Amino acid sequence: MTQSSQAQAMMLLTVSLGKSGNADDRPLSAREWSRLAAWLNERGMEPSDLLKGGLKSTLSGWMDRSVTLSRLDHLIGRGGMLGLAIERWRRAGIWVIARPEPEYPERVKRRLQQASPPILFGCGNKALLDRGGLAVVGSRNASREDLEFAENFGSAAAQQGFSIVSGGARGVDERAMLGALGNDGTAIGVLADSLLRAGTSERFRKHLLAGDLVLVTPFNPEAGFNVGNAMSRNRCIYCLAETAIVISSTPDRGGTWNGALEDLKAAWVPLWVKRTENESSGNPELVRRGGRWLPDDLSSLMCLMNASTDESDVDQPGLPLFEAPQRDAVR
Amino acid sequence: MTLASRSVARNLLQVALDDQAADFRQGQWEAINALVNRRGRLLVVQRTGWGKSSVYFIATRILRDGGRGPTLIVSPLLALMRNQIQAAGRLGIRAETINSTNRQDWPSLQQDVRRGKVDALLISPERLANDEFVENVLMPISDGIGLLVVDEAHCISDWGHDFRPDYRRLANVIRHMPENVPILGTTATANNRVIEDVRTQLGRVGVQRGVLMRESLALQNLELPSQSARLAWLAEHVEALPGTGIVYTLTRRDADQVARWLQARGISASPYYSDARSEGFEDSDSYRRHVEEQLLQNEIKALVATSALGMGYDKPDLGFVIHYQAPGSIVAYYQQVGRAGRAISHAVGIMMSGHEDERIHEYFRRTAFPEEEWVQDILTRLGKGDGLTIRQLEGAVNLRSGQIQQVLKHLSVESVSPVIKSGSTWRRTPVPYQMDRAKIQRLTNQRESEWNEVQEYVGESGCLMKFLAEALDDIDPQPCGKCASCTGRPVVDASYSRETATDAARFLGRSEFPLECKKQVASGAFTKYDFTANLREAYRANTGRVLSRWGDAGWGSLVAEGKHDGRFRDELVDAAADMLNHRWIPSPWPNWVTCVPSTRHPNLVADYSRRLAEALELPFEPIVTKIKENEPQKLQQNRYHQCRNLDGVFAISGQLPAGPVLLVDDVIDSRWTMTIVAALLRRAGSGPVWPFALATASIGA
Repeated sequence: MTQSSQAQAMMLLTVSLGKSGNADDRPLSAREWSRLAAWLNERGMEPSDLLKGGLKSTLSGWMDRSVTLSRLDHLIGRGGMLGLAIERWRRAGIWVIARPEPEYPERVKRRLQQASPPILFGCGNKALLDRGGLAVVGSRNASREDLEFAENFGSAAAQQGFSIVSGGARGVDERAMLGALGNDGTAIGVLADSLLRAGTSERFRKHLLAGDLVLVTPFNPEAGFNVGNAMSRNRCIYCLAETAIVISSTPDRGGTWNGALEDLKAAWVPLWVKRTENESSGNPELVRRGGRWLPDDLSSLMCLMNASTDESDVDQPGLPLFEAPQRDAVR
Repeated sequence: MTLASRSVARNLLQVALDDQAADFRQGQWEAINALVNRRGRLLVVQRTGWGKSSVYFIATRILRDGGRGPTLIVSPLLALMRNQIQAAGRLGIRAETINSTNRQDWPSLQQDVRRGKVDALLISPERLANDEFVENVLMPISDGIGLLVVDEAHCISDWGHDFRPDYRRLANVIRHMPENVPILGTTATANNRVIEDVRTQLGRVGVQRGVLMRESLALQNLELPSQSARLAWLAEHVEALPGTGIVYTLTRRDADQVARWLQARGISASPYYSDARSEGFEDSDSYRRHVEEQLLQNEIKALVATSALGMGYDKPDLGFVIHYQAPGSIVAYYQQVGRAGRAISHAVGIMMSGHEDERIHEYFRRTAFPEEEWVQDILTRLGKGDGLTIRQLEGAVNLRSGQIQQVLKHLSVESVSPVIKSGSTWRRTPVPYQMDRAKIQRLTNQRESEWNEVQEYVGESGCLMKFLAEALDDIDPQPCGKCASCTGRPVVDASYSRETATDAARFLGRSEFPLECKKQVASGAFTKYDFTANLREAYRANTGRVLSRWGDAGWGSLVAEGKHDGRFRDELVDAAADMLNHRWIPSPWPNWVTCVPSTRHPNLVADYSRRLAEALELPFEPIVTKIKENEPQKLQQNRYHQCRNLDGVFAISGQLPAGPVLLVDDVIDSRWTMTIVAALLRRAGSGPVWPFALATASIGA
């Protein structure tokens, strides 16, 4: 399979390849890319037109403070490197989906709009990307109880036919995903780094081979860990899912906390928060800011899906999930 | 977007060639124009000497002046030829190569490449297939790659006679390169089917074809089936052939043997093959470059080479190319014989074919692909866990290190592969894998039909050059007027004297070679014997001898026959005694003879050893006994398993005679048995051990 020239042009412009030193040469952000794509679109052009002929004439009239012609020229000139990089990634079983392509997950595009990642790298069963499911998030060093809960939650989801969407990191993410996969369920892992390593690791390989798992990342599949990347992939976790569950969070810092607040603000999916005895947990504060306590009874997870974050729904009588004190807390 | 006009490019050509009157040969400007002004992709099929390096150096100059990145030249050549570097220098192009011969310069070269100070970088396909090299050198090139040149592009094709796995990787890289990277593929040898295949692999590539016929080359075939006849002919005729040249053989050991024979007959000839080494040279590369240079300077009459001396070796005044054995395909033959007579008016190409050729090609076809079972073993093992190094794999699967390498190579050039190398470990990817049996069968059939075409050439009664040109789909094949068929008289005299042939037969019968036992054993494999990784000096055998290669001309066929009949003939006793008495002459001379015992054929080796001891007038003392039944050693495929299979198997029983001992075995392969029995003898208090074997089973290809 070879990539379309659209996808090639988008990768040249937005994916970091190798160790790039110069800040002026950095790849375009999702928003920068969106500006350029819109400009091209207005003029009846496509990204692949940037690969033909002279860039100067193709982009005559393009004015952008951060996306300069020389930056674009440099990025477009990385074709040799792109060939080398993609060949290696393809060899490891990694595929690429560009935003305009039909396989690109519809939920992400609809929710993130201009901010949706231009390129997704992945391995495993692509079809799972549009299956939705339950996002499970939590910190890396969660308590044993929380880890066990994550795993049980994953297996409950599997038994009820729901996918788990998570970050693939050690800790809560991995336990929830493996909880589902271990019970013939399916999972989506959205990685912030090292897709190639994760895809060739023992813990995920057999599930990828069996078609029960898909791993995706918006970043170079061999990129190392980076806080900024980890934050921005969190959005994709929420946006690929139908509802989200916070297992554990640390107040005022860390990816879980920020990601959850971002979801509350953007109202992508309902945010459920696991109850905890731990006094240093950020979970109660998340509920104060608009999250809702996760019910103890996990026998009907469907209810987590249907509820919207709209307060009127919460107050509807007949929902057995909520007790009065928590209902107050929603405000 | 036009970067340069024809006249600008022509000026550059004149500078490059240092010739004010120079103008482009047909096709050169068209190629440059397509690359620099249209960023095109082009496959150029032109004979060697057409001037492809002018095309890519001029294109490099123009692209660099236009602010583009450096040119990457992928070529099987070790280095650019001197005249090419001069031409590049005149254009102000800094051309460098990064290969195994200049390892000490790598850090500074890599830095210069990354900083864009190098205008053209020449690397081998193997280097391009090395993930660390790609990551550390190519990916960081700040300006990107301005032009990609693929030398010997026919290797990309599955249909090519010498399809190479690393080229397949290269084809995949190219397929993932966006259309704005200009690419030039060059080859002197590609028939229509190969061209078509390269086109499909590379996508959207234009093709330019020139005439392939060689006017100065006179061809002739010589039918001399026996090795001694061919050696005799070479000894009597090579010196009189025009200039200097190449003698091609199919295997390394034939290259060694023919070179030694020619040297013995006073003809200056050196062997050449991948991994050829010689005393006084640090490694194989430095030796090979030395002899390449000697031939270039006409300091030796001939190189005796395998196909490793091939692509890109550019010596305009090469006077002759002789094939000691027939190559596997007409394309390969054209390519090799086509090295002769590029810039001189008369050169000769002689093809001899021997009765062993068929067997060797059959072996090549049979071993071209790894066995499915090996592939499954390795994938199963890698499927557990997070990756293994090659050494760890050797401990985990019963395969030879060469077989493991072959499997990993085969798998890792798949466009979507079940394995990937990460650092020093191999990891299983999440990709289901099935060996493509149909494809392997197709390629094997293809090789068979290519070999049949060579047989047709051997029996051809018409013009030989026309036969080659037609097989290569040349645009205008004509009778050459120079070959033995066209002129009606031989290009070279086919006769040789009976005396020389007898000498050659004797030479073949004396083709024994040194037997070096192992110095290191696999650690942890000898728990019973308690041998540690480094075998103690006091336990090691001296350098012994092997009389022949299994099944080969010389004594090898008699050994095979003896093994089959259950008794080695007396000729083999005489041959060994003759060798010991007159050529080997081990010192200190052995006081007694013993042998490696076998439970499957208890008498075969013992009987032979007893007779050999009699001939040497020494006592035979069968004191090595087998105390444990083990699996045949030939089923053990790598060092760990070969060692472990021998642990506790042999014992020394009875009174050990004093003094040096001759240790005899019939057919050896990995040499582990000899190593261990010698060590046991020495540990039991024997004198120095001289190992001797009738034959080695390894083919030496």
